[in-house]
Amino acid sequence: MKRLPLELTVNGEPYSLSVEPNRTLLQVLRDDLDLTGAKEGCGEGVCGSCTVLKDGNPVRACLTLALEAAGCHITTVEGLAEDGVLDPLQQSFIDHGAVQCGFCTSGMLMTAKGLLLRDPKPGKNEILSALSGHVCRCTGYAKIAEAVEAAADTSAKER
Amino acid sequence: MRLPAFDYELPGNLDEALELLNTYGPNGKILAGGTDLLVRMKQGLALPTHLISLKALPELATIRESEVGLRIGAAVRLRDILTYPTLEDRVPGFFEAVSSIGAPSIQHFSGTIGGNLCQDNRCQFYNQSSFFRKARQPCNKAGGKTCYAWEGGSDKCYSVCQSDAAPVLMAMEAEVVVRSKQGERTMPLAELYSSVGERPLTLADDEMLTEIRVPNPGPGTGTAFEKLTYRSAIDYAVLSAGALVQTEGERITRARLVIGAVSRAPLGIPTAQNILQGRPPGDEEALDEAARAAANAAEAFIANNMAQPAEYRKQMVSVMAKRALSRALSRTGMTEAT
Repeated sequence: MKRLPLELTVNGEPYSLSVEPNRTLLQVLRDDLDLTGAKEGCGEGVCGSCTVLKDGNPVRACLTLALEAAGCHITTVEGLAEDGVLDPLQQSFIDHGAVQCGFCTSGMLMTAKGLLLRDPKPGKNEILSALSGHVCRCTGYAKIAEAVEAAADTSAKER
Repeated sequence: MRLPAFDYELPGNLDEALELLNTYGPNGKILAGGTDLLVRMKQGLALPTHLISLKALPELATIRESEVGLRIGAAVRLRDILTYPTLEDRVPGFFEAVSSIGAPSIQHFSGTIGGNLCQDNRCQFYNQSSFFRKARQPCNKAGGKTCYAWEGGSDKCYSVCQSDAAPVLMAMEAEVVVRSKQGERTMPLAELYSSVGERPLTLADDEMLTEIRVPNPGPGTGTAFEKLTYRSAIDYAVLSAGALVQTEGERITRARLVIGAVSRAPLGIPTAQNILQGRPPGDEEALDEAARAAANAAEAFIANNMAQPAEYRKQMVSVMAKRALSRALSRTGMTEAT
C-alpha cells in the first residue's frame, strides 16, 4: 500500500500530509490532526455523527477516503467558533438544551451549518429533512430542530 | 471500523480509468461516492487491491440534453440531479426516486446515480460484519453453498436489488452506456441486471457504466415512484414500485410497471401493459387488476432477506404497485406543457 501526499485545508489551516489510501477522512482528522469533534458512531454512514463540511456541504467523514478530500476545504465542529466566540448555531444549541449525551451533536451542528450556508432561512420541513440523516440515541430531536430554527432566525436578523 | 489495504488510483481522464480497469480486472473497483463500496469493504465483503477514483473525471459528472431526453453522466451526484432545472416537472417519478435515496443532506452530496444503479444486492444474512458472518458457513453470495434467506436453503442466492433509481428508470425505458478499453455498448437499463444474486450486474470486470439516458416521457405521459420504508431517511427500500402511464384521448395506451426491492433484479411486470391498454383512466378495477398481477409475479421471489417479514412484503406489493400507477396516471396531463 503506497502512501500518497495529501494537501487539504481544515478549518482554514492548510495541511500537507502523507497518508495511506485506506485511511478515512475521519481517521486523519481525529488521529493525525487531533480534531476529535467528529465522532465515529456506526462507521457505515448511517448515524451521521462523523459529519463534516467538505467545501460547504455535509459528508460522512467515515465513508470519505482522506485522499478523496484532496484540495478541499474541510470544516469540522472545531472550526465553527471564531476567535473564541461561538457560532450562533452552537449558542442556540446551548440555549435550547439541544445537547444531551453530546455524541451526535457535532454531526448535527455540521449538517445544520451546511443547511444554513445553502439556505439562510430554511422552513421547519427543510430543517427536519436536512437532519433526517442523523441519529440521536437520546431522542432529543425536537430541541435540536428548535435550536436550528432559532439560529436561522438570529442570523437572518443580523443580516 | 478500518478499511482493508488497497492502492489508490486517480486517473485524469476516462481512457486512463478504462486502462486501469483493464489492467486490474476483478481486483480493481470504481470508487465514486463510496457510500456502498466502502461499507462493503469495511465489512470484508469486497476486497479490491486497487480503487480507481472518479474524482478527476468531470466528463462523467455532467448532465447533457439530447433531442430525445437527458444524458446523465454516471458520476453525477444525486443532489445535482435534484437541483437540475425543470427535472422535477419533466420526470417527477425519477425525481421522487432520487429524493428517496439515503438521507437528503448526506448521501446526496456524495452518492452518484451510477453508484445507485450499480450498488450490490443486499441480504440481511450477507451485509453483516465478518464477526456476524463467521458464526456459520458462508452463503452462496459469500462463496459458500447455501442460502439462509430461503427456507430450507437453496443453491440460488436470494439477495435483493434495492436500488431506488432502477425501477422507475426501467419503467421509463432508460438506457445505459457501458464502456471498456475495447469499446462501448448501449443497452436497456433492464439488461444491466443479471438476475444472479451472487453477481447482480452484467458488467464484465473491465467495464464501467458511464452514462444513463433518460428519455423524455412525451405528451400525455406520467411517471411515479413509490417506496416503502420504516423511516423516512437512510433506510433501504422494503419494497418499491416505479410506473409510467401514457394516455391518449380517453384511453390508456402505455403502462409500464417495475417492482423494486423484491428480487435479484428490478422486476418488470409486462402483464400490466396487457391489462391496462385500452382501459379508460378512471377505471379503478383495471388498476386493481394490474396491481394483483404484480403481486402474483412478485410472490415467488420474496425471501427472508430483510428484517421485515416476507408475508408483510408480499401483501404490500399490490399496494405499492397501485399507488405508483395511480399517481403516474394522475400526472398524464402534466407533462404536455413541457
